[in-house]
Amino acid sequence: MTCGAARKFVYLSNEERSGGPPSSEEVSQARAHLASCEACREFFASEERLRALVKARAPREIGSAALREKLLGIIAEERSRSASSPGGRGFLLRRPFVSALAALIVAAAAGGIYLLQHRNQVSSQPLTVILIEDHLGNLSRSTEIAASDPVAVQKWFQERVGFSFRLPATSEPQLIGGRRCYLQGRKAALIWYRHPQSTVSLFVVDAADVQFAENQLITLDGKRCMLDARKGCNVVLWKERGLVYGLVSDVQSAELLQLAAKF
Amino acid sequence: MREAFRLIRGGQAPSSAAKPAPSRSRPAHFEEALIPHLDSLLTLASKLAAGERELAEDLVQETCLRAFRSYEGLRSPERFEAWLLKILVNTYINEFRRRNRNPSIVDVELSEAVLESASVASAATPESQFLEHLLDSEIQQALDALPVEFRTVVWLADVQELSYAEISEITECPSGTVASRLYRGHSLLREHLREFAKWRGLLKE
Repeated sequence: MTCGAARKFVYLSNEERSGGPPSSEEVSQARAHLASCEACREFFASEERLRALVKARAPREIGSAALREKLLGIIAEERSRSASSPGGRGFLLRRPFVSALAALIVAAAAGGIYLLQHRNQVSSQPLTVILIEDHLGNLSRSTEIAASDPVAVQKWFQERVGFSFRLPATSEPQLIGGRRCYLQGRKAALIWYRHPQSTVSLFVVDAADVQFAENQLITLDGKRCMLDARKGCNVVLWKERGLVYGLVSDVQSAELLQLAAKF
Repeated sequence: MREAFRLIRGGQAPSSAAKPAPSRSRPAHFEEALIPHLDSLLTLASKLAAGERELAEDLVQETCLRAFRSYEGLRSPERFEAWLLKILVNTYINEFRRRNRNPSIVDVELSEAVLESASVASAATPESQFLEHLLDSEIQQALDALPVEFRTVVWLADVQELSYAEISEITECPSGTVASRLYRGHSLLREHLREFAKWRGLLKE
């Protein structure tokens, strides 16, 4: 059996093909071929790597509570329209009942989001590594929004990342803009500040479940910040209103802390 | 050997923990059935809309309305999610895609000749090594760059872990075409990821 034939049988086996499933003899031959063919094993290993990569790291969307409420409202309207029309749906679909059900579902959905966030819990240690990788990897990229006005930048992100945050007015370092990014599958905001010697990245992500290492925490104006340093970069992390903020740069951590104090 | 056969979709890998267990009984109310699947819907809608959040939300809204109107006719409640995804894909094809006249891909059968000539990693940097250093946003961009037919199948197969038969029903194309789109989608995705890796100096050839 050729490599092409064996790969095709394995790719399609146990599936209904347009020409019918492969016979057990064909599958046995394909398996025998794979057992002795390194190129074919590498072919499937590569397919499996890609599948695992997409499954583990392709970003997922989480519907906001606002979207859920909007959808439930639209469905409730549609239900009431069809109930009031001749031959419409039955007595169970009266408005007060539907409103109560909608409220219950919104509460259940909120619980679902909580559980989902906790199931995908990330620890702060990998988070600092991820932030540094993303800081370095994004340095040569262009901004999606170029602006020095914090309000304009906040508004731009608010419409795109599904959460809102506040940026302080500061001229040193100077706000230059930002772009969207993903951190462990979650939408995040990446904001850049120009420092005289370097670029400072600020990441904002909805990851309130992240745990900070107690032995790396300091208190800054009542704000609990975690410090870390790797690959020549310093990181300052803190939480505020359910969001995690992370400053990353190769400037001194004291300068990052000064910027953190302005938030 | 066992690794290679994990690719077989019909034998179904264990489903993801996040996936709601299919229920044989139909919830009395559409909303009750819908809510656990909203994130799946929104994620696939976002993939179809290449990350445009507003378009994805419009698509989900239209899908929910259409699903609500036909809920009473649903014969297999345990296949509710696949049913919703099918409505989503159809809504996208019939209503949304028409608006942005992107050319369709040409489907070809998965051929032995194509598979025979598939290049098996020969670069100095092993694939497993550079893949793990790619950023999530690069993976997202590489996926968004796939033609929508490939992107949909890759998502349904790799993330939703649906069988070819289920994907075939959702996308309304034969299983052989699903397999071909999955293979071609993976091949293109691999090319895009290699480009990102080369650009960032992660890949030496």
